[in-house]
Amino acid sequence: MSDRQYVIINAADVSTVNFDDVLETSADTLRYNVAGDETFVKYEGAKPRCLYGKDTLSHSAMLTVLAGEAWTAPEEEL
Amino acid sequence: MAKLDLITSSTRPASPAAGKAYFETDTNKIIVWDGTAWTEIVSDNAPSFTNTYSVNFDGSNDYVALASGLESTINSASTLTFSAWFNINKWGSAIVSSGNSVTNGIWFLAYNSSSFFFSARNGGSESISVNPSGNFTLNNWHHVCGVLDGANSKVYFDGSEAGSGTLPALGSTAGSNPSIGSYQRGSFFTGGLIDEVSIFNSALSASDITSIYNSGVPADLSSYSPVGWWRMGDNDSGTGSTITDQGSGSNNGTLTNGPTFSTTVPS
Repeated sequence: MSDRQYVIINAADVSTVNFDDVLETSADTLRYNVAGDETFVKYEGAKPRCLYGKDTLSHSAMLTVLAGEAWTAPEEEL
Repeated sequence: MAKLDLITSSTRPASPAAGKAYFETDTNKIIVWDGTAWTEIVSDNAPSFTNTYSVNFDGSNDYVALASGLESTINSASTLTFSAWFNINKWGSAIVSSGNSVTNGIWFLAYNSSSFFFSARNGGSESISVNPSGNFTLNNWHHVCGVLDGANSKVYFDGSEAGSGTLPALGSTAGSNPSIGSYQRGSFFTGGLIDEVSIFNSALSASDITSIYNSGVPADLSSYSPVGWWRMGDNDSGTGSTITDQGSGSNNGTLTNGPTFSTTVPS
């Protein structure tokens, strides 16, 4: 997983993602933040054209982001 | 030269003479009746059970989506058993789950170092909480079995009973969103490896689970007639995006959001 790159995008930009170029299966399987206004996609190899101009995160950096309260609701106590 | 009588596994005689031996043409086993039970001998050229692949999850958003046909097995079930091998690298990893809310479904979640939850809920908040303490380490293979059986529900860790309690019969939509590696396909995404996931529409016994654990090496489950058995790459050559269900339900899994096959397996 160390060669994967992650890109956080605005929810409004999902329609610009070419799902043939990222590892996510489709728009229907994306994970969103708690607020619902951001999601992310990941890729391996060359950065997809649809993600040009957007910052990338490493696997470990992305997991740190996802562990924060903006992405993991504190009420997720099972 | 004496020859063994030929039979199949479905035509074993009920009460042969003690010491009588046969050759099973469908399993390639030599079987011997000792007067009370069968002893099975696998012949040298018989195809033996092998486990080569597992599936690696990155912990961000990937999972295996199981076909919706599995829902009919889980919905309204009062007895059920699941079995899975896992080697996780982060807490908050759901190994198997189904359902559509925190009060409707069934799941096994490695929540943190002191709390693993086997939950079955039908409008309530029931769980069997297990503290694996010194018996669990991240980045190592472990086996879990959850047995849903009313007041006799149990969790087994690495072949031994680790917790018990009362869990309810499931509701009519508890089987929705069945998945491996996530909680209801929306959170608690597993980081690490999962292998040999199976589900049975009955409550397996402690001795069954001891056999399935098999001292830490995955075993052939076909004799337990699983409804679902996802070998996580085996039988699919470790390629593609489909996990073919080797159980009776034909509910294949689909790699979703980029999990990958691995050749690191329990051994």
